[in-house]
Amino acid sequence: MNGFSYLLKKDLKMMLSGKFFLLAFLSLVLYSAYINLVYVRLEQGRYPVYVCDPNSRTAANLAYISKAESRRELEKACADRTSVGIDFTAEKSEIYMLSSGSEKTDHYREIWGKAVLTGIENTKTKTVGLYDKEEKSRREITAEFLFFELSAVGFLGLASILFKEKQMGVIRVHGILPVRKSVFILSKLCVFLFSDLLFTALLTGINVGVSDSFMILPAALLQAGILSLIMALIGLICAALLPDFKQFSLFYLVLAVFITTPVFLAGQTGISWKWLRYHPMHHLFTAMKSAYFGASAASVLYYVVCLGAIVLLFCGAVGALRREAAREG
Amino acid sequence: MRRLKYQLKNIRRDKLCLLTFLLPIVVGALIRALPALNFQAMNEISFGSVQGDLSEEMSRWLQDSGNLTEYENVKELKAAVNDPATQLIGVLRAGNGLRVFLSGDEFEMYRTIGETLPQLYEKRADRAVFSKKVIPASEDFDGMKSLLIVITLVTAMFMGCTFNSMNMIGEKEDGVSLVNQILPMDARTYIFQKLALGCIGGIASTLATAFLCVRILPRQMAFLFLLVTLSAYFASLIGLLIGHFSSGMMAGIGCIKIIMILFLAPPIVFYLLTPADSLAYRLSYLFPSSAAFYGLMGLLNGQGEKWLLHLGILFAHAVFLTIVSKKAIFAS
Amino acid sequence: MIEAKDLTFSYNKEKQALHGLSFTVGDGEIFGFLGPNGSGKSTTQKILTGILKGYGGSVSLFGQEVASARTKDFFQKIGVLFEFPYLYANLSAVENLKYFASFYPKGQARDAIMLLEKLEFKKEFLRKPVSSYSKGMRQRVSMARALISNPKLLFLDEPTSGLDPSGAVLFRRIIEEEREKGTTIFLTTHNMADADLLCDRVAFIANGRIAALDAPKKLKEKNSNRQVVIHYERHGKREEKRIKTSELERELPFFSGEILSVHSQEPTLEDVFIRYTGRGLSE
Repeated sequence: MNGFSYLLKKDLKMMLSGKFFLLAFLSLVLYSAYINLVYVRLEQGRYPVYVCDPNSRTAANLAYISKAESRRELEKACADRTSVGIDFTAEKSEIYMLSSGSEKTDHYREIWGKAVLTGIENTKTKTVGLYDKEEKSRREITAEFLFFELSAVGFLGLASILFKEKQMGVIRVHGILPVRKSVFILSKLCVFLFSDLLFTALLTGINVGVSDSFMILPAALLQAGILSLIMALIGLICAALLPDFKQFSLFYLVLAVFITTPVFLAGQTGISWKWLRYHPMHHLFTAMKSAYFGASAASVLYYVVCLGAIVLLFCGAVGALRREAAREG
Repeated sequence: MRRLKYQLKNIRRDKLCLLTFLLPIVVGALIRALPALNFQAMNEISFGSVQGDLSEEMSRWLQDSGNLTEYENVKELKAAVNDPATQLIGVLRAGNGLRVFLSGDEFEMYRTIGETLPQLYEKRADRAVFSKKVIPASEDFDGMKSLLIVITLVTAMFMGCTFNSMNMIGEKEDGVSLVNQILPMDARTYIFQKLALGCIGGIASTLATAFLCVRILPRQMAFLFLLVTLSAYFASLIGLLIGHFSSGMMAGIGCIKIIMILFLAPPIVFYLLTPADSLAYRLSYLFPSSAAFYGLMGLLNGQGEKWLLHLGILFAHAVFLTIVSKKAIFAS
Repeated sequence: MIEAKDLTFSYNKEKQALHGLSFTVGDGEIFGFLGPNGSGKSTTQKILTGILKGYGGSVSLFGQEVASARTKDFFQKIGVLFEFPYLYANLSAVENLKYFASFYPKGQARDAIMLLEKLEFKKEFLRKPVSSYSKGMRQRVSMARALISNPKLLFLDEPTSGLDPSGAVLFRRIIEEEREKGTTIFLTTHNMADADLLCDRVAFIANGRIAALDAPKKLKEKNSNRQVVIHYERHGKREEKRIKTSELERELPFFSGEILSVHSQEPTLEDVFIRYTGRGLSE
């Protein structure tokens, strides 16, 4: 127990000297600034309708319509491939559009353009969701940033600290110390887990709001804990097996680009690829997002698989560490 | 020139630099080689309904304007509408018309579509007489595809900073930086050599990517080349600063990561979400990558009228950073 | 060639690394700079090679103050072998040398392959990346890099470190050859055998001060107790006697029987060093 507390203290000091906490704090500031100053203000407006009507053939005060003074101005306004132009200059009125590249979207733009001329208005529609746009945006992006931080950025920070120990050769020194490899790994896991959980609580509190956070945090902390342990163990195995940090960063690049991108794409756009169900990160991502939206908890199978993966990775990390300790040179 | 050859050889054998060089090219090739993946379809309106609820005419009408997915029951439909990843509009039959329900967290565009959909359906028979002129998109045009191509190209341009920064950090780690200090080489020669490395890497990677996935007119090529060169030069200056001030590989990789996020995210966000004549959009030119991004988007969408403005802004950024870098490096 | 007068240097206010070193190194001389770790050897070499600025006192090389001599011309005349083999790990030995040679005027640089041959570098590794080399091979390439420009003044920091005994002998031979060509050599080392065999003069440095400076032979003579130890056999019994060398001018002051061996009690260079500095080189 005494050995474990010394290891814990040493790991904490390593993280402090490696500016791990400072980087995590900077990430927190960067993410929060982006969420509050940019993301929650994002909006996708309706298709603009421009009318060029010098002879006032249409009603002047229709909703959703913008005036264009000339055909040239109309064409310029429609260059964004989303706007619909209606030209009343000639005898026969003309709908002018630049194709968006999708026939269906163009068709909708056309009927929308025609409809607004007839004085269409918004009607109250039943809503079935629990959140408004801002609440949804805050929860969604917080979950995504947290996933990104834990699976990619935090993973990099963790590995950088492990590589420092490896370069100094102290991993090998631990091989001949009267301390079990599992304790060596456990102390690291504890420190990283604590750091990640603190990060989760702060990111959620700042960006979702304190009162909502109380509802979200139990589930979010559980998912963050699972992800943190898995990524920390993968990072540890990689640090022990890969010869240098450069090779690790290559691996990281591949991981970030090819493994997390499809998950994000699916999460952000609603694309559903069948093969995605075999992507382990997809399940972790979905569980994290569900935690932020109060959706029903993941299945028992999910937790059993996560636990199994953590145990397996832990054994793998112990093995990798033994191998590193025995390595020469 | 001979020195540059060996330096290039050195970075060519660096796996990280090689991957950095090849990654945009591979992604560019993938974007090009996947014609079956219709990116534009991702932007189409999504409707959801319950199996057997809508009449055939209703379904056809909805399918003309977007994608219709049928769910087994209302509960499933509601769950899909509520999924935060989607902007799905739930549609149910209400007599001879349509009834819509939304999640309540949609963008204004989808809320408006939902709220006006029943009226649009009612008015479907109105036959106002209009002629129609739709300028077709070029064969290659796909808004989303263009966006992905531009993101890939901008990544390739600004990845130029990886080549020289990694080279300089590698020199520090191998101790060659100490040897450099006793070589008959002045600081200017050294800086020029490192800038050339970044520029060559960035330009070559971007042009190779552009060759694979950009189809433009011959007269637009000069603009593309100037845009790529200026951006690569800027990235190379960034790489020089990272290489000079980073204490080690880990710090360097961290810096590159932050730079890539700062260079890539703002122009994408501003391009997608702010009108081109807004103050926010204009302010986004403070990010050097914005001019490159908007310039390339314009080039791919056939709106090249602002090319001089984009080149001018990039040039101004490059001059400013050259002065700052010079002061920072010589002061240290 | 080198003239240092009251050379001082501080890394920070509290820690002064050099306390007024004064020495000269003549043309074609091999000058040894000996001291334990942290004594100021590397700092001195960095000042002499123009890497460290902001020193006190004066240091001139080729008759010019180093602080103002950091020109292309200055660096064309010096060659430096650092304590560790600093090379581009992704390039081969030949590529490294050709790259570094490209900084010197065409007529000045030596042929990389011939130089490596002279340093008995394994041919099969000529085109392989440095990352695959052993420590000894890297040291050979490093030495070749220091020599490639035919320098007039050569700084060598632990040249035989990481070499096997035959490699060390080869390096000493090459250093001798350089001296014969007229190259001045500033040798920083821990290795007493290197210093003793190669140096015309050595300076002992400890705590940033020069404790002694002279030819190794003279230093040893100065510190000798002028005694010999004679082992002899008398009545079948081995005995030992210590006598002053002055006593040898006459006949042996004792009946020796059969003399087995005579050992001069001249100190080693390391003994002399400890005597002057109060500590060993490895400390």
